[in-house]
Amino acid sequence: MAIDLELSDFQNMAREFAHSFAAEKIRPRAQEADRLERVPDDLLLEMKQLSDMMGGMGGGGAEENPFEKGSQRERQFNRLAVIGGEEFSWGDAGIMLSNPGPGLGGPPVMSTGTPEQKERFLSIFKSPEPKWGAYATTEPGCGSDVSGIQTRVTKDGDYYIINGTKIFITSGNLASWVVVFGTIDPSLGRAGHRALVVEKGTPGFIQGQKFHKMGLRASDTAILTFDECRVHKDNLLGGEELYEKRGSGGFKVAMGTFDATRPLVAAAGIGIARASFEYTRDWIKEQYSLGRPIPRYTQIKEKLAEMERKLDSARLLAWRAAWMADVGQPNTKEASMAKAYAGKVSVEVCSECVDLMGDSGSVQDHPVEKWFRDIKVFDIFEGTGQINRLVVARRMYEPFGIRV
Amino acid sequence: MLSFGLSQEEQDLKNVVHDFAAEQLRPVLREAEATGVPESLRRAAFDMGIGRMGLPESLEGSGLSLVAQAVVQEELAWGDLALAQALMGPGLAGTALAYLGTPEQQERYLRPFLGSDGWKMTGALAASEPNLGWEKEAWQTSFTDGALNGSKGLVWPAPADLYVAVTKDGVYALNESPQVDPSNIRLGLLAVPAGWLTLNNTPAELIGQDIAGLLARVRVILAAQAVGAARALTEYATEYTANRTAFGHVIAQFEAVSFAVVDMLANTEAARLMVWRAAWALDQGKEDAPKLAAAALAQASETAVFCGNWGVQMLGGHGFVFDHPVEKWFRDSRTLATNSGAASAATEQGDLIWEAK
Repeated sequence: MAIDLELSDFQNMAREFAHSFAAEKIRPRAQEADRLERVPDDLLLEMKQLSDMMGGMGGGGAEENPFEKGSQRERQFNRLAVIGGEEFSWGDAGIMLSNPGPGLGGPPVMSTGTPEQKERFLSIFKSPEPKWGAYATTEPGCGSDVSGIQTRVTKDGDYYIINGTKIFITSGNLASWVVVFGTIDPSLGRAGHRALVVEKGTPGFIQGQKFHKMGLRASDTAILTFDECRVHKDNLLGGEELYEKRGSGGFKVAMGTFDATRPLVAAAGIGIARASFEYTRDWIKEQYSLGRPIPRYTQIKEKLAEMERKLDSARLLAWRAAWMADVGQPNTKEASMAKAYAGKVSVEVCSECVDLMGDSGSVQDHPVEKWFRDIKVFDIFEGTGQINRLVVARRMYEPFGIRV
Repeated sequence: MLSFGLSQEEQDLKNVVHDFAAEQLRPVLREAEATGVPESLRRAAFDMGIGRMGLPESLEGSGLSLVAQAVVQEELAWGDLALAQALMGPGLAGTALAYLGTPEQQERYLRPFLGSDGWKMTGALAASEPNLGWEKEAWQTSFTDGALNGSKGLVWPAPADLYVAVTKDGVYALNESPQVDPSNIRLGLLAVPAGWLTLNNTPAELIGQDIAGLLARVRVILAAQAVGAARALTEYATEYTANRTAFGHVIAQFEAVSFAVVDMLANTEAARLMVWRAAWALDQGKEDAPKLAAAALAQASETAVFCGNWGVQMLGGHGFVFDHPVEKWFRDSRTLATNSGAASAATEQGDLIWEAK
């Protein structure tokens, strides 16, 4: 092992590939998708084709299962994800989040699904038309505290009956299936949690309601309702034996996902903030090059330097967390640290950019106001800044026998 | 291929230096601040080769990469920032000679540091100037006819046994001791003597002209020390808040407390990665290394001050008194952030952003 802080040729190639797609295909459509509150179909199709070509970068044709152990060569799925994720998000985060594929539903299926379930739920992404998966834990009365979910799962012979409401579900209306977390008995706590895959069209599974949002408007954010929704036990993620073996299986499925997704979300936030930083930097260079007193430059330069440091250091934290996941080191603490830090500094940078651009920062003639709207949720979803600090704090104080 | 793991050799070195810092630096940090570094500690550091880590093997050095030097300096400064600075032997003058000097110059200036009196010898880098600080384009010290004229300061350590002075045109080893006006009533880093140098036709010899390359190396080393201080403060605050009780709970169970400590940790780890990246880029000869080094020092010193401030806050009144090292580390961190020229480094980083493209 040795420190190497340079992308490999392959990683660089992946980044450049993602960047040129982001620059040529995504960025030019960002304002349009924001206004439409969805991604235009022709762009979705192009994104789908790109995903298929890139395999592991969120597409259905992933050759490398990031959750499979014992691979011969060094895995780099997580590093590629954060590298590529930053670039796509640099193009537009709302469009990136709409990328066809299993989405956040992928990790639980890949990590916990039986071989039959993986085949059944992931093979649909091999079709040429765009399809989506989704992941549903959040409820009107329970967000970050996943252990408090109220959606009820009741066994009925070979079936489970689901009742409840899930909110803030990314691509939930588009999804062909959604991984739903519910409880067989709230008094059991985590041991009562069950993860089920519910397919589009299942009676009692109601899609179609969407949120209007401050930012990330291109991305579909759904309300999903389950009203006496019956799904076969074959859709219980991991199969019934899994839950008999380990008591808190469902909760672990929910939480384990974050170790892989938090560094990616951190990187995506950095991508938006970097876009804003670069745009503002270039704009300032043009606007201020003539007729302004030199001392004004110093303060602006120092602001730019501070922003660059914030983004660079946040990126290194995200890369480290992704590297740990790739080499099989437990990274819960580092993933949450990266997410908390990146969420904070990305919001700061995007806000500072609006500030530096003055009125131009707040009008639609420039994308900076949009990036400011887009970024805020990066300190909220995938665990708020507070929840991620709590995750880190628990691990910091564990050696002292203190539960915080 | 993006990897954040230390090699086995680096890890072993880190462990050895960590034990040294825990066993030899921590117990005497107050004594060193009050009355100077104990002789026994100077001898122990000399025997370990602490000050020679960055020197070539021909001079009994370890020839360590900057990444490895950053690892070592972080551990030493984790023990105590002021002592880490006091025990650098030829120090940043050694860094300058190792980087820029010819083998003959290295031999001539550094060989004495290996002799029987080597344990008590120190070297200093004289860069910043009174009223001008680290703004290198403005430095007025000049070299003519084999001698330097001008003022340098604050320089630490000063007095020293070897001085390397940096002007805006070159890097020079002094062949005579300059006049030193000590400045030992200071905010922090009191285990290291400091002073203002007056160079009055002081004989000197050019050792090199890559000022940017030298400053980048100096910045990485100082930034690594700042990370060590930040980590010490974070760990101390973690342990204290895990044990201190109020309102029937240890105070770590109040999120106003634990979240602040988490931010100390996150900032510290972020700063460390910035330092590693700059060190790595210098080791690899990357073109953007000077900018990365400037950014690393700006970030690391800011982080040390952040952790100092919050470290004192986490201990409340106990953070303010001599019973805990936290107030000292805060003073030391604040001093390093100023004396290392971190603000100028940040400005330089801004210049490079401005000038790019």
